[in-house]
Amino acid sequence: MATFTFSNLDQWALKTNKRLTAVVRHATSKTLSEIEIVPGIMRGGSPQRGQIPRHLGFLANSLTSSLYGSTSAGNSGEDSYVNVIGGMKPGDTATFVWGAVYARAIHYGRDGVGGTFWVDVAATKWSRNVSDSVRLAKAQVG
Amino acid sequence: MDTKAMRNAIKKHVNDAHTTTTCVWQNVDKGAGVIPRIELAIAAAQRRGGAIKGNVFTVETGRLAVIVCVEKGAGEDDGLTLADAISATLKEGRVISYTGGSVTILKPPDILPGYPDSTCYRIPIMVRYRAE
Repeated sequence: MATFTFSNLDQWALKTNKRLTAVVRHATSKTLSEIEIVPGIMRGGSPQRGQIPRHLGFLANSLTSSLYGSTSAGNSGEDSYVNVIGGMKPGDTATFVWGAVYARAIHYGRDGVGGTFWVDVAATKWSRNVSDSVRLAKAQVG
Repeated sequence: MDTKAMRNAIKKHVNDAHTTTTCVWQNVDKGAGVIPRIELAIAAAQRRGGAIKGNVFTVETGRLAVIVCVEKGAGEDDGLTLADAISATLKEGRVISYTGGSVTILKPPDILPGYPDSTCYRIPIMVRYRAE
């Protein structure tokens, strides 16, 4: 394990910042990648809590990912979060929005069909994912 | 943790505070077509234990979805009035007791933008809680 003293404080800060960045990126990526996209009822599926059902529309693909509101080209689509997370640093504000008109109806429920609440399920997993990422970062400290 | 007792305590708390409005719980058809109505569902929940470290208590943190359903095409006023009343019922810091534990509301409920379905206008209210 490296030993840091006052004389190499800058080096320590740099390493710490890199680890913080790694934790933020890993935890965010894990949280979003865990949201499963499954066949919807119209495709014979049986979506559960935390899943995005794919019916006949573009709900999953309507994801827009942004950092401080910037939606540059390539930040739309179901895997768009990858582009944003690659540029994230600790303290940044990232936004992930499913913009399909019917997104709220699927998320919160409609016409007797219960919502799948994928945002809330993902948010509930956030603290666990951060803990996992911290553990991973600590394990890699040499 | 007695999950049935905990969730029934939440349901009873909301039901008792809004006796004039029909409350619909998950997997219950009764009242499903009534307008106005309040639909309740546990949107997400996660538990922490720690028994391996000697902790005997299980704690559940989760999000309760309360959906207010009002007449479609009649504006938002009635729905928002009911949503505010539910927010007051489940205000931050509220403790709902049940045999063997309690549920605490962790923050003010979020009243979210509404949307229509084929029969009514729905306004979701998300409530964060901790049960132990």
